[in-house]
Order: sequence, then structure tokens, then C-alpha cells
Amino acid sequence: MKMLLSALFAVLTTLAPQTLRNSATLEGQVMKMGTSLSMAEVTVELVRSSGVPVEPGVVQLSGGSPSRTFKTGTDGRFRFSDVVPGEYRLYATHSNAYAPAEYGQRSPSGLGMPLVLAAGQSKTGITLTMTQTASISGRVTDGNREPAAFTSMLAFRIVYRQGVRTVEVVQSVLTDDRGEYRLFWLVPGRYYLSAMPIQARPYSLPLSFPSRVGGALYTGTPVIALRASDAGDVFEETYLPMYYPGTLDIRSSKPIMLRAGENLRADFNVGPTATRTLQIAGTIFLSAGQPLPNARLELAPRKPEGHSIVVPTANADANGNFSIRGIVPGSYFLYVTSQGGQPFPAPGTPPPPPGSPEPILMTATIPLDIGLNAQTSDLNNLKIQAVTGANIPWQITFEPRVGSSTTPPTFNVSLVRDPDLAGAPPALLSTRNVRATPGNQAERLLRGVGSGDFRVTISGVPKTGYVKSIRLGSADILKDGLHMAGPVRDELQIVVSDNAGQLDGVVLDFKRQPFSNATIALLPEFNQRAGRLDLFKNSTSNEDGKFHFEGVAPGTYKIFAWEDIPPDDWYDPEVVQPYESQGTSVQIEEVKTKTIEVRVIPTVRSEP
Amino acid sequence: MKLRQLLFFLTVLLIADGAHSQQPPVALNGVVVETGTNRPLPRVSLELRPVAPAPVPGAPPVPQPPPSAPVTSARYPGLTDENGQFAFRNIPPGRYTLTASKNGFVHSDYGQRGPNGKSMILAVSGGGQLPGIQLFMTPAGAIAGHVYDSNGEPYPYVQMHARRITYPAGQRTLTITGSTYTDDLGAYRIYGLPPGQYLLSAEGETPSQGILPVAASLAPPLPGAVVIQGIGGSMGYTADPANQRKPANRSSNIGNPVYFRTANNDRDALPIDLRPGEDLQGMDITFSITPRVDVTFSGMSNSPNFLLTISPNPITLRGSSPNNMPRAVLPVGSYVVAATGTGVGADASNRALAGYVAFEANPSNPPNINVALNPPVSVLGRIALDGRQDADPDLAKVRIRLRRIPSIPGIPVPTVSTASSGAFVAQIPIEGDYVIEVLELPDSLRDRYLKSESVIHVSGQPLNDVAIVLGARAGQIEGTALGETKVAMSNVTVVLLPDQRNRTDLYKSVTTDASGRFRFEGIVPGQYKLFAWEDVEPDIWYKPEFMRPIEERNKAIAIVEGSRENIDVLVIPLR
Repeated sequence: MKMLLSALFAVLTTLAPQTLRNSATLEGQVMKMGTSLSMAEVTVELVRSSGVPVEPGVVQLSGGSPSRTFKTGTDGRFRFSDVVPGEYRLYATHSNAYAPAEYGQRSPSGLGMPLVLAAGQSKTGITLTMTQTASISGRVTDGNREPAAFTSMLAFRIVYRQGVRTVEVVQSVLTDDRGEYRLFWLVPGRYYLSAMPIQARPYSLPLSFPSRVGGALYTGTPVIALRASDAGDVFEETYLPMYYPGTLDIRSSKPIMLRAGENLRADFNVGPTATRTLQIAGTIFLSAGQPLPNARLELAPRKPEGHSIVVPTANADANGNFSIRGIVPGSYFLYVTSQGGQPFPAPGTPPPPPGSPEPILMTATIPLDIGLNAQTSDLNNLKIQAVTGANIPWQITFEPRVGSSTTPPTFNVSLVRDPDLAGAPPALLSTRNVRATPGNQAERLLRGVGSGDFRVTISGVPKTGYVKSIRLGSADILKDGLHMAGPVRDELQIVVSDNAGQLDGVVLDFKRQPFSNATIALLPEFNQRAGRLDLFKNSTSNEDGKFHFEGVAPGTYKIFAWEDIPPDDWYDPEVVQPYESQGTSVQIEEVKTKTIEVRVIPTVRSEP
Repeated sequence: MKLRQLLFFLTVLLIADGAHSQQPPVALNGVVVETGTNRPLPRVSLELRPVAPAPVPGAPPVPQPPPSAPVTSARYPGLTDENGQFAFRNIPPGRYTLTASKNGFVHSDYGQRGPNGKSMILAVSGGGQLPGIQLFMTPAGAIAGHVYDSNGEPYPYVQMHARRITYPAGQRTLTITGSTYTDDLGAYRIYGLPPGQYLLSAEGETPSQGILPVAASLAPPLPGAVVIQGIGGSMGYTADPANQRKPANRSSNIGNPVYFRTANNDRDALPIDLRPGEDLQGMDITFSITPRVDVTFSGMSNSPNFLLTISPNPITLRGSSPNNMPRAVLPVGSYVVAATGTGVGADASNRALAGYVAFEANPSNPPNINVALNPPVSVLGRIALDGRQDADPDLAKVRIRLRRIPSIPGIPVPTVSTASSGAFVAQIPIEGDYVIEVLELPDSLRDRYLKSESVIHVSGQPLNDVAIVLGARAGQIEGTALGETKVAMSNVTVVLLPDQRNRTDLYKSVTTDASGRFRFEGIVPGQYKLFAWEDVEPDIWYKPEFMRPIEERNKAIAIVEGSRENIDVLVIPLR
């Protein structure tokens, strides 16, 4: 520590004169939203950003990067002088009674944009606006109108993560003995609300600080409880979330627009959340007829929609017999995985030493409807045949940039499930898919690929490149995906080109002025969107309204620039559909750079 | 996506499958009522659960199912109707526990007369009509209020604890019973609390892992359910980049309690008496973060590795001299640090070393605490049998303990085995007064008792001639616990208290059997009093304030060597 300090001091001493001459200055004021009141006691933090977005709008702050803070006085003013030129993020935080604010933010729940400070620049007149957080409270009762205690109350957002509709829990609390709850520190915006009897979720949950984005994603095994019928028969039940204002169907749930400082009241009755569960049982065997012991079974909902992904699981016993309990009627994928009949190593077990024989990997994906179409009983005597996974060799052809002779980069090929359901086992069980090295064909192999639907992913594609084609025999894998149902004889033929197109653009408002911090999404043509999530790209306009895309595969696209839209919402066709006419079509060709002007889509300022 | 936090938890509730009998199943009926009022309670959840058969002496232990054993259904859920009645049909004969739970009430087991009672096994035999079962449930209480900062503003996100003062073996001990945190309005509510006396405290920011509710009154998700598998899963978390630095602020302000109303230590706290079902509102606390002091430690150079225990609210720190001397950031206050290690060098080679220092953590003068580690003091002695000159070979089976008063957390308590000659050697870690306690007596010496002086003082010098005498015949008391109408009461607590109340080693307590009988053996001669309660908090009889109002109810009993007393005791009713 001491050594580090002195080293730092030495650097500062050497750089000091130059730094002072070329440094920048930043000045501004923090205001309370909707008022002309300045905010005191606000911590304003200037953080050096690496400029590399890890996901839309969320920037990875470089670890241990210089961060400076300023606490405002009664005038709400802040000032940073002697700032090293570069790209920064500027945040303001107060007590948790206020949402965090950021430079460039267009709504209380929106994210900001980078602040670029040039050498010698003095940037003044920056205003950061702070919004009060909001709360939701109410009373929860059970089927007999008695207070329901220990009920898990969740405020969540529905978001799109890598194109998958996902529920992110922003805040969760428990009801008390009177059935009362209070969800608080919610950043104003759109929320969904649910109630679920406890022991369905971990009942010790940390509170989250006010957060404009992000939240918790849950996956877990079902709660199973016993209950006696009036006749004295014992059956099993589990609990479904009850969504506001009183529905078990998340699609019928009514979103809540929370305003700054608001306390919304919402009461629930959780009586109808208990539901009988079913079970499936059977045997797993090998093609020769002998049982396969120790397989793992996971039953993932085919269309997960709830606020948590509940995946009933089981392990087959030494005779290959299994029973999976706690199943709610629905459509599922049953995933069966096995390591050659060996028990799966416990979490934390060190990997086997290199060179030790790899167990034979077996996986199967079985679509299964349980309890649907008036069928209300358990499924017993399922016979599942395990098939050894296929080993698929792959080969990449690299087309270097026109006019250059770049050496091909190192690629790695992997698989993801399609759809990539939460709770599903990894597409590739083997951890031995190591990076390809030139001339090492033995490692260019996808091992133990079982039955199911997959997409092929390729890492190592240059920023200026794109995946031109993926073929397996006559099948177009890039367009249609990889559908595995048995052994594979062909080689996966992949073409990566370094000749992608580029797009330079500017976002303009209705006065044709540059519009900063717009969210720009580049989407493939409407009929291609569902299958080609890999073509989606997004960015934000900078302070001059400009944006840039590279590595764009040739083709026809539509580009949208929103004033304010939740990250990844453009993956939802229902969100994009009303804006379809406000998008701008653009044709991208290999190597070429297209230039474009895009009109911003303003946020509709109406309260529901 | 940035995975900021990954929690993994998996709890599978396992059921030991009871021994299934081939006898025909029977029906079981009963009622659940409120303790004291006998009001029938509707919608009470019941769980009947088989227990392993009673162990047969000499038989091999019953194998336990491995943790990975599948969940079985050998549990029976039940629910009371509007009249508090419940019925289980088709129950195989066997031994069971029966538990009742309901929101707003403390869990209750079959056999419990009140919230502190012992649960009993319910033996269900085949054939004939079984008598109705009665269960008693005590309403749980709540403590609620607000926490404010020194400016009178609401203090959100403060962790709140309700602690019971318990007296295991007569030692005053604080045990957290219920916890919560304040909301954005500074409001809190700790609920589901069994009646009793509590110390309430506010203790800095809520830990990031959250806080559990009171387990003693946790009801099933919906009335009538028995959860057999629950709470499994994982949680991935992404956070606002503006908040990414905030968690660092979270953990730093934990562990400096402010007790209700304004005390900064539990001794000065105002105890809160919570009656059954009481909803205490307005229990407000003004909270501020206690300044912290950076305390460094030195000394201990004669032990390469050592362990420090700082109390109260024990913290243990490992260190090694001279390069890894521990430090601690402590709230302002009074502390004791105890150190233990293993010596090196000519005079201390491989010996267990110990030492302790009391100190004040004061911000104006951050202390450096020098702890000297000293070798133990040898205490040599002999145990003799009163009335006998010869040594008994069974003396080798006697085990005694030397317990320091007051005890110092972190300093080991020496236990000593004797030779067949009765000779023993004890290594006493630090100076002080030590109580001699007889832990184990072989069957042949079962009626013996500690007759000689029970306290020895150990200074820096070795003791060579501690004589312990075991008297020949300890006293015995047996009798019946009687209720208000002189009816014998089963499953009540009977306690024998010595007149020398500081002699915690002489206290004895038992529970009456099915016919209301009790029996105490091994009573050291002296003056005693006998008390019985229908329902009483365990060990609360060590607390003088609890005993004072009832002290004169019962007469003293003089026990001499060989006393065989037969005394009935009146049971103090529940309310």
C-alpha cells in the first residue's frame, strides 16, 4: 500500500505541470425535479469511463479508475477543476429517498450518456435533476380474508435481455403479521406487482437501493406442500404468483405507472394462488435396454412468463428410475443429461486432471405437455432412451479485409439453446471445448451435442467483420438454426468475413437540430427479426447527435432512434410495431460506409 | 450482463420415515384452543409427523436417511374448522409429534401447556376410540415504532433486534429472537414474538443478506399446508451503475447497538415486557452511528500464532507475531480481550498460553493493547471419598471442571480427569476464582456429592494440595406437582433452588411425568426451595427479579446427608 502511494505520488509530480495546463473544468447545479429548488447534500461523482458498454446504456467503469466526488451545499452547485481530459460519467446520489441522477438522462428511469472533456475545456451550466422515489403499500389477505403473513411482495419490470422477455425483480419485501407490506425506494416508472405466499422464494431478501435499471432474476425448484382434502386424502400443492390487480396470468397483469414521491396502495388476496401439482415418473435406459443411472432431469417451462422461473428437477436413481414432483400443468422441455451414468460431481469439485478420459455425454430435449387438454393425472411409466451426444467438427474460412492480408484471428465456436430457456442445462456439457489453434483440428470439435434446437455462436469475429454463413451439409444453420435429432456426419462449415458494412449517422429533432442521448436500434427487416437476433445492434447518440455502427452484415435494415426507451425493448415486436413507420430503412453493403440522418421518436408524455 | 451477486441456496426438508406398523389405521381427533381463554381457534395448520421408535437399550442406533434421500409423504397435514376441531383419518399406529401453527400465534406442540413447555410424543395405538387431543396456542406479540436520527428525521434501513435475556446454567445471555429493518419512513415492526421480556435495539444498516423473521411463529404459506420442499434456487442480480459503489457503505455501520430507549449497552436498556398477543406501538428509538476506534494489539511475542477474542459481542481475530498483529475497528465502549496461543522458547515450549486485558476504546486516544501471554498455573489435588480411606478404582471415571467466575470469553474452561488414586492435575489458564463442578460420576459413586469447599483461588503460584471430598450420600426429594384443585399435573417444570443463589451448580430442574411425579437426586446438603410452574421460560429462575415476588410462597427445605424427602409442590398457574 505504502509503495503504491509513493509510486502514484511520483507520477503525479511528473505530470502535474502538464496536467494543469491541459486540464478541463466542469460546473453545474443539482435541482429537484419539477421545481426550481436546488438540492443540498448531494454527492456528485465524476467517474472515468472506459467507454466500452457491457450492455445497452450500462458502461463498465474501469476498476479503480479515478473518481472524484463533490458534496453540494445549499446552492446545489458543484465544480470539478483540474480534470484530466477524457470520457466520464457524471452521477448524483442523495439519500435513498431520491433516484440516482446522471448527466444526459432523459427520464427519471433513463440512463445517461458519457461526458467528453477535451483538454483545456471548461464545461459549465450542467444541470442534474433528482427525482423522489416512490412506494407501494397495501394489505394481503388469504382465502378466508384473514391477514396473510410472510407473503413475498415483488415489484418487477418486464425487460428484454438478449432478446428474451425477462422479469427483473426490482424490490421485494414480506408482509407482516397483519398482512401489511411496503415496497419503497422505487424509481418512478412502470412496474408490475405480485404477491406470493412465502417459502416459494427465499424469505430473507436484501433491500435494493433505488435503481434505474437492473434487478434480480430468479430461477429455482418448486415449493411443494401437502394438504388434506375434505375426504382426508393428502395431495401436493404449490403456489403461483398473484399479479396486480388480482390475476394469476402475468399477461393480464396491469402495469403501474409510479410517479415521483407517490405512495400507491394495492391490496391482494392470495387465496387462489395454491394449485395442485402433478408428477411424472419413468425410467431412463440405453439403446441396448439396460438402465442408465444417475441422469439429471430438469423440466423447464417452454414459455416462461412468471416473475420467477420454476424448474422441477430430479435425479434418476441407480436403476434409472426417476420421479419429478411439484409440476404445474403446462408445456415443458424435459432436459435429460448424463455423464455416462456417473454421478454428477458436487459443486466445487475440482475438474479432472487433463488427459483423463472424458465420460460419455448424453443429453436429450423432450417436449412434454403435462396436465393439458383435460388430462389431469400424473404421467407415469415414461420410457426415455438416452442417446450418446454427437461430436461435430467445425471449420472456419476467413475472408480478410479487401486490400489487406490480415492473419486470421483465433475463433471459438459454441452452442446456445434456441430458445435459451432459463433453467435449461448448458448446450455443451463438456468444458473441454478449448480455443481453436491453427493446425489443431482435434480441438475444433463440439463435443457431446444431444438432441434439441441450437444456435451456433462464434467468438473472435473482428469488430469490422461478420458471420457470413454457417452450413452443415445442405442446411443453412445461420438462417434456420441447428436441429439435432441424431448422429451428424457432416462438418460445420463457417465463413467469417472481415468486410462488414458500416453506418455513420446523426439523430435530428423536429427542428433538424442534433439530438443527444437518443437510443438507436438497428434491426433487420421485419420478417427476419425473429430468427436473427444476432443482427440486432444498438447505440446511443453522443453530445453532437452522432452515432456509428460497424461490423454490420450486408442486408436491409430498419433504424429507430428513440428519445427514451427501456434497454432491449426493441426485441419485443409489440413494442416496435407502433413505431414501424417512424423507422428509416437502410441498405448495408459489404465494406462500404453508409451515411444516414434519423429523426428522433419523441417520448409520448401522457400518463395512463 | 454484469452478474453482481449470485446467491445460491437450497433447502430440502427431509422427513425421517417412521416405522410403519401393520396394524389397521386409526382416526385422530382434537381441538386447538387459545391458552388461558380456551377459545377454540379456527384455521390452525397442523402437522402430524412420525418419529423414530423409542430407542431400545443396547440396540444399534436407527440409521438416519442420507441428506440426498428423496422427499417422502409420511407427514399428515391438518386444519381446524370454525370450532377449532381437527381430524386425521387413516393414521398408521405409531409415535408422532403434532405441531400447530397459525399466523399471530406461537407454534405449539402436543403436550405443551404454554409457549415454554416441553413437547411430548403422541403415541397412537391401534384399535378402540382414541381420546380427543387438546393443543394450546399462545398469541404472539409485536413491538413496533419508528427510528429517528438525531435531527428527528426518519432513519431508514436500520436493522432492529428484539433480544431475550436467557440464563443458560445461570449465565445471563442475550439471544436474538426477532429482527427486522426500518422502512423508508423509519417504521419497523417485529412480530410473532412469544410473550416475555425483551431488549430492543437499533443496530446500524441492514446487512446485505437481509434479515429472517421470527421462526417461532412462522406459519405455512396458506392455512392447512405442510411444506415438504421449499426455498430452492438462485438469484442473479444486476445493478444501476450509479449505485455500484454503494454496497461498500453498507457493512461498515453494523454492531453498535442503541438499546431502547437511549442506552448504548444492554445493561442500561429498558426491558420491554411483552404480554401474550400484545401489540406494543410507539417503541421509538433515536439512533446515531457510534464513533469507531481503531484498536491495535501488541505483545504475544512468545506465541507464533494466537487467537484474540474481544467481548462483549465476541469477535475473534487470528494473528501471528510479529508480522501479522491484528487490529479491530470497534465502537466506543468497554471491552475485554482474551488471547490464547501455543508457546515457543525454553520456558514455554508447546504450552498453552493465555492472557487477558480490559480496555476502553476511546476515539481521542486510540489504544494499543498489550496482551501478555502466560503459561498456565498447575493445580494439583486429590479427590477423596468421605468415610473411606482406600482409593476406589472408579475414581478414574470422575470428571470435574474448574470454571472461572466471572468467565472470560475466549479463555478455555479446564476439565480434568482423575487417576484411580483420585489424584488430578489441572492447568489453569489465568488467575482468578474457580468453581469446582462435578461433571460426571460413575454409577458406583452416583450418590456421592461435592462436600468440600467449592471455590478455589488461583494466583500466580502453583497449588499442590487441593483436597476435594465427595460426601457419601446425597439427598433426594421426590413428590407430586399439584394444581389448584390438588390434581396431579403432568409435564410441568419443577425447580430446586439453593438458598445460596450464587451457587448455580446446585440448581436442579425436571419435568413431571405422566402421573405428575418428580424426583431429584444428588442433592448437596443445604437449604433449598422447591417451585413448580405450569409454563415457565427456561432458566428464568436464575433471575433474582423473577423470583423475588414469589420467594415467600414456599418454605425452605433442609437437606442433610442421606435425606429422603417426599414433598408435594403447588404449581404456579400459567396466568
